[in-house]
Amino acid sequence: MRLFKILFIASLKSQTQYAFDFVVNVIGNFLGVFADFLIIAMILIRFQNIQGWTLIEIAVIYSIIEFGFGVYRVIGDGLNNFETLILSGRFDTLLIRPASVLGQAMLQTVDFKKIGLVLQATLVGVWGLSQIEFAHSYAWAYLPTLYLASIVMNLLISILLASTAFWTGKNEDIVILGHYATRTAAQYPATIYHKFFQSVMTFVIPFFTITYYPLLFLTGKSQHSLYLLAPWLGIAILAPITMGVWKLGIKRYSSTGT
Amino acid sequence: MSYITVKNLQKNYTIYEKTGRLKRNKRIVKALNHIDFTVEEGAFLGYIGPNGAGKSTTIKVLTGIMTPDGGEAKVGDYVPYKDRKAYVQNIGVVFGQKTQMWWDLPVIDTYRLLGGIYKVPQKKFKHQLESLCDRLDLDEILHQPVRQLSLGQRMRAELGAAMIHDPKILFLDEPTIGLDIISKQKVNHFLTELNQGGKTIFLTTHDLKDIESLCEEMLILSHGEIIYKGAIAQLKSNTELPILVTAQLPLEQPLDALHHLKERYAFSFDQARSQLEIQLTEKKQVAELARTLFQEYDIQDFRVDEPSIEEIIKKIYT
Repeated sequence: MRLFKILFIASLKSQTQYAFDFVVNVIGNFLGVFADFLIIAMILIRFQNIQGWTLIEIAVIYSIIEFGFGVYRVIGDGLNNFETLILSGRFDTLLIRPASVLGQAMLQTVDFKKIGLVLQATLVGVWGLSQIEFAHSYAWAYLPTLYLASIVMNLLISILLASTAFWTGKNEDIVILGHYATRTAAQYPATIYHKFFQSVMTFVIPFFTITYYPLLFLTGKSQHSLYLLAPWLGIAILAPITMGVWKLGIKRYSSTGT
Repeated sequence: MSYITVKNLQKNYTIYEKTGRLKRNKRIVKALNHIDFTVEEGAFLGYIGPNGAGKSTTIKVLTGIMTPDGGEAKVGDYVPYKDRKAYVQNIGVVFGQKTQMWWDLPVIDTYRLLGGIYKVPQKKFKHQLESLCDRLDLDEILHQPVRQLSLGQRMRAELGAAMIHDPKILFLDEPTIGLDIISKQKVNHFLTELNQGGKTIFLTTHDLKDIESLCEEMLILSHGEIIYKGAIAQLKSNTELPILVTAQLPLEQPLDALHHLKERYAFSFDQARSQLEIQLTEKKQVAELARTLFQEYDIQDFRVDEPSIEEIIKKIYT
């Protein structure tokens, strides 16, 4: 936590050195992503619903996934650019400091410009939640869990995918395919996808465990209350795998150099 | 007890060479081939070798960045690659080619951040900062963003960053690369002071003049093996390269006047310029030769050239 504070302040200072760029970028990000949501909204307004899911429910799903993604982009930008850290050899300089390597890599830069993403997800969420009707009254108490799980899930997936750079060097496309594409896919209910892709999104990059499954129960589309455990299960399984791969990657790095 | 102990250290790299469209050839390169050495606490060690000799690999092992394939390395009470976090608290590292500082922030901010990461107590930090500013001449650049610094200024700031937590040992990987003479002098002066203050310094460089003026001891690495370890003065006296004495005689000096020199020395005489060149194998012969020459001839110019450290090392490398 101390490390987090130190590096957080460093990044904030670095970025406020270019104040104008900063402001333009936050607005730009906000608008850019908002356009994405508008596209979904347009389609839904025309068709009223997608396989039984209303626009409002999809807005909630969208806000859950985007909120976690936005927070990850703010505090985990270093993981997003992990390949440059490896390719430039700057990863060495992290290893000579008495602090967590993962923490340092993640907080290379805190990208405050991506706050636009978080803001936008929050707005869509507030709108969706103000109109949604849950089948169970305790759903409200459960909601914070989903937003939190989304942050954790996004971070885990980014660490897992960033680790591939230890083997491949360049991994930009792996990250785009494995994280960006799946996160966009997770903005919609699972039923619109082929069975195979549903399995991928449940067991490999388990984004559906934080959106689709819990909401299936919360909105009354399913009676299985066990679906509420899905986020926990997803994280409980992904976390050790991710940390294992990361450690293996560091081990590989320290035995080969680059 | 030595401060750094390296025993039977091995490190291999696997290199894949493309031989066809899909085929590739595997080749093992021995970066470190069973090397042994020790360094005493407070030493100033120069670590040299041609490109690709394994210098950087050694530094990476000793700073805990890299795990060796075999053998062991110990610095103080730590095995660098095993106790990384605890170990790096006590070392400073400067990579001449990579910056450790926050590019967009003023130098002082990097120092404060590092102070936080290394958990340097407030009072000690202040004291260390003042002392570094003083010795490295940092006052004028302390509040400038790192990206605006010249190479020489940046290297001084970089040294400050490596010393802010007052480590016992400093590893330097080509710190003077690309620096002008004045900047180089400042850096070297600082390093000498540090060493006199009791810090152990491990320096790799290609600049042999730096090594000669800074280090007491030198390690020469070539193709993953240590080929020389010892004092620099020793290296100079051990060499088989000749000492060259050049004497200028008056023009139209008759050759036969030199005939009795011939009995004792192998010399060559350039008649057109009346220049006499004599190669000696030992330093103590110089005085005797000079006496003879000055007594018997009208010497107008006289020069003694000892083999330079560059020449000695070039001979060792090959």
